Amino acid sequence: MITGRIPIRTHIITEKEDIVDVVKKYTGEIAAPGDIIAIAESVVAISQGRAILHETVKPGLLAHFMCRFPGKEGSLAAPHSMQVAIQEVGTGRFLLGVAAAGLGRLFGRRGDFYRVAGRQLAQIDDFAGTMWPFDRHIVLGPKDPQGVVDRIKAATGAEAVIADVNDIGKVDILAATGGVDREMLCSYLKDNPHGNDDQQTPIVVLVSEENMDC
Amino acid sequence: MYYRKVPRITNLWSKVTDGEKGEWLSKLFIESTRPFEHSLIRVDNEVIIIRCKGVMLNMPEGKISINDGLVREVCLKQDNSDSTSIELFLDQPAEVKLATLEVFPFRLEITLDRSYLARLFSGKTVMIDPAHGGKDTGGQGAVSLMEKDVVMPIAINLQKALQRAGAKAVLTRNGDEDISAKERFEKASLEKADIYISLHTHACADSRVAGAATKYLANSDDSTALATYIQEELVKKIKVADRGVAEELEPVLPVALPAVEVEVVTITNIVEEVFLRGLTIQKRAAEGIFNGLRDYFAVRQSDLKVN
Repeated sequence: MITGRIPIRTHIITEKEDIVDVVKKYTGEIAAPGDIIAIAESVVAISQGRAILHETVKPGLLAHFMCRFPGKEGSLAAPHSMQVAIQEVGTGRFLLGVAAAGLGRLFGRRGDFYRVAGRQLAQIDDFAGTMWPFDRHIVLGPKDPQGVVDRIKAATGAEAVIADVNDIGKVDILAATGGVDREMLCSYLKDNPHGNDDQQTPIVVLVSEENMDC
Repeated sequence: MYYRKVPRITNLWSKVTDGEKGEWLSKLFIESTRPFEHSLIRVDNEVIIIRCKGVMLNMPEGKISINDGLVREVCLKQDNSDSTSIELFLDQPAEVKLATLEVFPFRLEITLDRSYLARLFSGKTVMIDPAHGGKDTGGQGAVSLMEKDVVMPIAINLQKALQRAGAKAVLTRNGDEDISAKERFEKASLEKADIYISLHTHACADSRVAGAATKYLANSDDSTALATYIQEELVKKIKVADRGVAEELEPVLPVALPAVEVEVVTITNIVEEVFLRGLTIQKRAAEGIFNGLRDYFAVRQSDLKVN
C-alpha cells in the first residue's frame, strides 16, 4: 500500500551518466525496500544516448508526407521525428501501421497505427517534448527498460518502474520489477508527479505504508 | 523510516496564484521528507534568505530560474552538514510570509505579494497586435503552421497577464481578420495606448535560421529601450537563440507611441515550428514579454521620481 509520494528534483541528466547511479544518488537516503521508485522514460532514454539532434536526421519523401497527418498538437509532427520513427521500425512495418490506422479509422477505431507499427513509436518525443536542454532533440523510448529496472532494484532494494506519464492523465508503464502492482501504480502516477518542464522531477519515490510509519 | 532520518529537501517549485482575498501572489514551495527549523532574513528589497537548520539538500545545490515577474531566481546552498540556505532574488520589492504545510512531503510555503508589480502596471494601456490575419497569413512553417494563427494565443496570454496586473490590454484583432496597419494604429490611438506591441514570428528562406528578435522604430529612444528589455526577458524565458534587437525598416509600427515588433521565434525553422504547436511556448513568450514591459515601466517610474 502506497501512502505518500516524493517527487525528486535532479540535475540535468545527460548521456554521460548511468541512470542506475543517478537513481541511487538521489534515492539512497529516501527509498527503502517496499517503496517503488518511478523514473520518467525520457531521462532513461537520454542517459542511453537516445536523444537525437535534428541536424543528424535527413527526412525522406515519406516522412515529409506523413508528418502532416498527426494532429496539430501530436507527436511526430515534424519530418525529422517521422523519419526517426520510420528508421526505428523499418519502412515496411511503418507502412503496415499506416494501412492499419487507415482501416481502423473506417471502423472508428483509434490506436491501430501503434499496435501494428510498434509500441515504441508512441514513446518517441518530438521536439519540445522533453525538458530543456533536450527540447531541440527527438528522444526515442529507452532501450531494455526491464534490464534497467532490475538493476535499479538490485542497487537500491526498492521496486522500480519506468513510466511514460503525460499531463492528460495517460500512464504507460514500460517496465516494472516483480513486486509492483501495475494497476495500482497507474492511479498514483496519473496526475503526473514527474511534473512538466518547470518541475524537473524525473524521479518519484512512492512510499509504502510500512516505511512511512517506521 | 522518515521519522528517524535527517530531513532532506527534495524539490522546489513555484506558481503565481490568487490568494483567498483576491491578492496576487507568487508562491514557492520547498518540499522535504520531514519538517525542519527555519528563519527568514531580509537582506534588502531584492534579497531574502531563509536559513534552514537540521536539514540536508537532496536536490542539487545552485540557482533555479523562476522569472515569474517577481522572483528572478532561487539559490540553494548546503552551508554545512546541519544547515542549508535558500536565497530568493527578487526583481521588485515584495512582502514575504512563511507557512508550513503538514502534508507529505512536508512543504515550506513562501508567499510573496505581487502588489508592487500591480502598481507598476496600474493605469497603463497596452495595445497588443497579433500580426497578419485573414488572407494575409504571414510566414509559413515547413509543415503547416501559419504566423497569423500562432501569434494569436501568445497575444491572448499576454493580454490575460497584463489584465491580471491591472493594465488595460487591448488586441488589434480578435479573430482571423485581415486589417490594415492604418486601422491597427487607429485602434491604438483611440485607446490612448501607452505601448504598442506587434507580435510576429520570423520567416527566412534558410531553414537553419532560428531564434527571437525585437525591432523598434529608430525615431524613439523609448521604443529602443522597450525593445531591449523585451528581447532580454523573452530570450531568458523561452531559451531560444538571441537574434538581437534591430531597427524596424518597414512601416509596420505606429510612430506616435513607443512601439516594438517582437519576432517570438522563427516559424521556418523546423524545431521552432514544432515549439509553436505546444502550449508552453505560447505561455512563456507572453511571460517574457510581460517581464520586459515590467522592466520598461519600472525604469520609467524611477526616471519620473528622479526628475
